[in-house]
Amino acid sequence: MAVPITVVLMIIVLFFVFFMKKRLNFLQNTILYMVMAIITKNYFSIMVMELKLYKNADDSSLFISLLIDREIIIPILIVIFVNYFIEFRAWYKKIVVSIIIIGCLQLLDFFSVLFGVIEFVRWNMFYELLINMSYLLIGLGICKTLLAIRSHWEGQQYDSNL
Amino acid sequence: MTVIYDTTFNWNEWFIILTLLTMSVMIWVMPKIFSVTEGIAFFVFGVFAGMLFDHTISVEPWDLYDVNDDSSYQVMDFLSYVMYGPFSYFFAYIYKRLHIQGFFHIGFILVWSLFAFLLEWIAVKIGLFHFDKGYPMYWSIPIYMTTQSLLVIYYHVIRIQRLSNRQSGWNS
Repeated sequence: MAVPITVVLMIIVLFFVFFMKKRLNFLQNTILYMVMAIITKNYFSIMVMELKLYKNADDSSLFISLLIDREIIIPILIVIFVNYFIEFRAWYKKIVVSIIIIGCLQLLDFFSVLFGVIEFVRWNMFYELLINMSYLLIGLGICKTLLAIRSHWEGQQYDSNL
Repeated sequence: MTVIYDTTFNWNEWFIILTLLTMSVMIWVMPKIFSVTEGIAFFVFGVFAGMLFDHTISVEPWDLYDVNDDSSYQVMDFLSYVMYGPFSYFFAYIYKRLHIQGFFHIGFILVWSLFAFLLEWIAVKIGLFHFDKGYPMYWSIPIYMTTQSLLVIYYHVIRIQRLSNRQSGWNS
């Protein structure tokens, strides 16, 4: 049950990010995606292998579900969040989009635990909420860095006929 | 259970540090042919791809091999993944410099895959990778070829995006 649901969610999220209006350009969005994927991978590995606060499923099919969550759904949700966050000018809209994305991330965690993809050991949904909020802040930090890089090096000398 | 292969600071650690430092200096001193954002993208692609495969097949439930001194996740393991970044940067750099086109792609990707395979063999010899759990090393060749093909596609998508942005009058 976990894998079909995860695949359905993945397809919805991919379509959403493909068709949504994006404020960052392709290069910035892919960097944001890759850095977030690196962070989620490290987070899961440290939680499972070092801190032992999570337990991975032994079943390979459930692990595929975790891979899709970790590599695609979570980073893409952050990309969606960042693009909407910088698109909206009104603060209430920024807050609404933050709440929606955190809700999606929390639901994803809930389903992962429900279907046995991960098992919490000395860990709970509140701690997970803090981690999900950290993802959003890190996403915004990366976005700000990328925009600063663009504005600082806009007139730099390089062969632009890539 | 954590498997310990080695407890001293020796060749595998030095290999990571020296490779990372040397390649980073080379990125710094070589003539710039990419914008800063493009350079970051090609660098991050290597780290992303390396971690994607290693954190998939070298962790439970598959757990086919170990990295560095023991089977736990250490800072040096993280640095070994960062080490992939300069390689993917130089892959894109040389690809652009040589103006690879048509069937030359096959040769280019094969040469880079063999080079990566040779580096992996050295890494196994010095204890950076431990394939004692049964990982057949030849599996790495299709993995390298897939990753490099994706990097070529990524390069061209960036190029197409840049050209279309330029035509529409928006500088990306």
